[in-house]
Amino acid sequence: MSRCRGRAPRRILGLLALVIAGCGGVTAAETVLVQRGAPMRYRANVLDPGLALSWTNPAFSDAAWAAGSYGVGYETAPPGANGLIDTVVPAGTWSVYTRSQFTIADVSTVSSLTFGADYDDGYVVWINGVEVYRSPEMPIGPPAWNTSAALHESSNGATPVYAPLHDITLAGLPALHDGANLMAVGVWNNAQSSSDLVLVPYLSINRSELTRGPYLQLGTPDSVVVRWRTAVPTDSRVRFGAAPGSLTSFADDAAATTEHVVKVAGLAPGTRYYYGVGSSAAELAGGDAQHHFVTAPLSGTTTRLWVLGDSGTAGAGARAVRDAYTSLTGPAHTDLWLMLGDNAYQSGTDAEYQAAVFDMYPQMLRTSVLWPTLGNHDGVAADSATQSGPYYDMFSLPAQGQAGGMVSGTEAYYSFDFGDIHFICLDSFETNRSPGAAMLTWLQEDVMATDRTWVIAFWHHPPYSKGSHDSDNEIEMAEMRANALPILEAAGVDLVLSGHSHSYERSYLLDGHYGVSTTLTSSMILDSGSGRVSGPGAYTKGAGSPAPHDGSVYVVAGSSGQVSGGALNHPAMFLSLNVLGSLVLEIAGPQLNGRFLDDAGVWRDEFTLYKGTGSACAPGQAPADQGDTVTLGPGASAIAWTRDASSVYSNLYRGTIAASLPFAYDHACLVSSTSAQTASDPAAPPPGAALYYLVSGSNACGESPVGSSSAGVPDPNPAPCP
Amino acid sequence: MIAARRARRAALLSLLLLSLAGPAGAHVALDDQIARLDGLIAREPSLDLYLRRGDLHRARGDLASALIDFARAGAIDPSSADPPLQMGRALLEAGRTEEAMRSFDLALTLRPGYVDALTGRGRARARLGRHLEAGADFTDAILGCAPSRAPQPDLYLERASALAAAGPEHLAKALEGLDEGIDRLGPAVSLELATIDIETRLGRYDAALSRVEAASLRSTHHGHWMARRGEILLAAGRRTEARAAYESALASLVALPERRRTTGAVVAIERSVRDALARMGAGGTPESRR
Repeated sequence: MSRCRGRAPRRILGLLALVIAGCGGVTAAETVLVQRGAPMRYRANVLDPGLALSWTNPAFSDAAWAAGSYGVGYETAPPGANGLIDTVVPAGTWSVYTRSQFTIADVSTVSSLTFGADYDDGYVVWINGVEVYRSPEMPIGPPAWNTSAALHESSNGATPVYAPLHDITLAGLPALHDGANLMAVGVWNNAQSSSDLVLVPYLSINRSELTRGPYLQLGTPDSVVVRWRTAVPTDSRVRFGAAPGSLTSFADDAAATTEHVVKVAGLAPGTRYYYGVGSSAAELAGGDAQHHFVTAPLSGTTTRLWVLGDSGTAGAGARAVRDAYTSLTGPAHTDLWLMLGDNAYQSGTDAEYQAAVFDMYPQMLRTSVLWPTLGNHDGVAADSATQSGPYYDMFSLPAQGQAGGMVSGTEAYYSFDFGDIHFICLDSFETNRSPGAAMLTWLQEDVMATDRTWVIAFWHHPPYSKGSHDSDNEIEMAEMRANALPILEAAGVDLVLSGHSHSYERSYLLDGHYGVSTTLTSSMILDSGSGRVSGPGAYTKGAGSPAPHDGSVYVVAGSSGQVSGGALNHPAMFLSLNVLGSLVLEIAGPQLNGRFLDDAGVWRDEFTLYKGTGSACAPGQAPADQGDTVTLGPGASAIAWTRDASSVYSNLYRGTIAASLPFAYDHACLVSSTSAQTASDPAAPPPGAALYYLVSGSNACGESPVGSSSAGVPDPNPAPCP
Repeated sequence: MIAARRARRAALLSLLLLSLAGPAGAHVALDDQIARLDGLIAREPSLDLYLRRGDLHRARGDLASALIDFARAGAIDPSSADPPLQMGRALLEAGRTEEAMRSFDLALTLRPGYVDALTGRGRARARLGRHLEAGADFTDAILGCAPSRAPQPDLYLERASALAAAGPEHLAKALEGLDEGIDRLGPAVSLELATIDIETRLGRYDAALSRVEAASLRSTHHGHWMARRGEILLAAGRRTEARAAYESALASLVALPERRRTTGAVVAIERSVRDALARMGAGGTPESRR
């Protein structure tokens, strides 16, 4: 089929790119129907009441039953469950039957039912006479008044613990009707001689089932791990595809869980995918433009990283830093982001992580892979020795070298590749930092094995700092400096990122400084300039892959949640700031830019590492539009273009010109960050339509406008390539 | 356990000083924290507060005050294994190994199978030269990690090290333990290297070579592993093969891009390979002398 070479219509709409913001599903809020304190009528069974299961039927008259409120039961060994019991029944009661009414105005507004209970020893629940759930302690079959439940202890607390909550939608929803409904719950003892009997039920509708995420982990060129949490256990499904409305593939895990971890594999490198998460029965989130990921590239690309250190305050400072970054980037994709430890204050508990990470950065979590390291605060609740605790529970990290690098055998320290960059994450807090111990043995092998152009290492405790922590005095900082840096510098590490001190401190280009600050000599400072292209120039290194002792920059970026001052006078530092902010890294080809963005959206520092003898671009100044020229042919699918010398990569966009009015630009990314200057496109235009192509140039400082299209006319910029 | 961890880490997270060189500024920060805890303890003493203050005293180098606070914590809850655990760690750090042992013993009496205490006692026993008992403690610590959890590679290495130190007759057991770690954690290079060393020490050269081969297949850096192969073959007296392995290693190293070739580790390997070849060249291989 021949390719039409239509002329792209001239500027018609700047509108097409607007679109989708805010299109998420709207779900009703949770409504609790029954919980502690809810009124009910009850019958305590010391003898056979002779009711069989008639009492579970809505038509049954409970007028003769006593009135009370949940929780109900008895306790003969106080305090025991006394804190849970509002309605006391006689000791030695075999079972208690309870009935509680609730009203639902419009059942069509109910999407889910959830039930939980704090109980001792077993219970069964009916809604409008239909059994919807029984606890595992109850035997199968219709329960008699004196059925013996297996042992189960209540929380014995002052407030009920309803978890685990159970999704009873499947059985319960069909039983509901508009107006008054009946919930009947019976609770049974293990034995009449039992010291206690307790029931405090919880019934709700429209509980928000997604309680965490989705969030992305362990990204590789052909896979990504998608994680999320639900209130009730379900199976797991990630649907994914090339467009929000076209999630044609899926990855599953049949096991019922509230912590969903699904590896999506078989993906193409450097490619954007849209996705949704949920179960085999329902999608809980996604399927829209807000939920997407981009797989890691195999080789060089323009890469943007966002680096947060000590961001875990869950407070105004962290929000301001976050908002400054998102305002800056707008819809542009962040390729990956790092957390440098102390991700959740004070102790790295699950609840603290919920507030400081999952509720703070939901948008970034669902579109960009997060790579964390353990800080001392995270290490209060987590334990590297056994890889247990919230930090290790919630993150999926490449202990087996799944993302490039050597097998570390632990999630406490790991490495991964992203395009031309090799990242190394170390545990500076809980893992043995001695030479000869496992971590540094692994490090030695890992840095020796990498063949990437850039090596970036990160961990929590900085080797150099005079912020709120002094690297001359703290053992973690001293040992990382004395033991890890010689290995890294001998392997040519380019950049080392840390937090811990709540400040921003950025070094000169250094090598060989492994002692306390007073031992720094001028020979250890390989370049005493600012590293600024706009000033005396970038820090330059030899071309190509890392070379030993070629110089490294050390950054403390621990002010992403709070600032804590300090002397801020470490002599290795070019700049030390007591300012809230985050670090933004942009890397393309031979150039790495680091910029510190404060909480007001102002750039407060920038530095550039440049490998080779070329000229570095100035951070933030995209290549000028040099009118990269696109030509087609000679074959039907052949595309060729020129690239201006100021660019490292090209982005190729494809559009379709419709056969009839109204004409509109619809071009979208076809090839991202390619070092080539030719491509082929096997796609054929729709009948009567034409395809056209545009090319932009990119480097570490940004992306140029597109040049003229293959139709020979200048066009507006398309949505940027990922 | 949580109380001890929180206490230890709450102290660590503020300022952990090198005991030998704490300038006044850093001590002031610790003193401030201790003073704050003094106030809290005066109002409502608790096990957790004593443990936290004790660890700050320990970090400050004041072992006596640390031990007193740990003892006070123990008095509040004599059934808690955390005070003796902390006491044992502080004593071990101070070089009072026998006393540390007794504290770890107490912690383990109060809480049998306590992984942190087993690890601490294993280290103490290793330091006292009681290598087999140390190995047993490390084994129990490894077993104490729930099946869904994984110990760090260090625990397997420490066990292997203890067993190897117990004598050559325990090398096989050390090797077995490392393989157990590889089975559980994956082929962590730190464990693999240790297994290769032990195989070589045992004279099981073919087994060592097989391990090198397997590791090499997982690596992009074949020169490094070929050099290992050469070392093993040389130790086995297979000089012709060793020479071939060294030459292959050298070819692989030389073929690396210049900048990778000059990294510290690669330079060191290349130097050792060239040295080995030079020695072999000077002496000639048995075959060449015939």
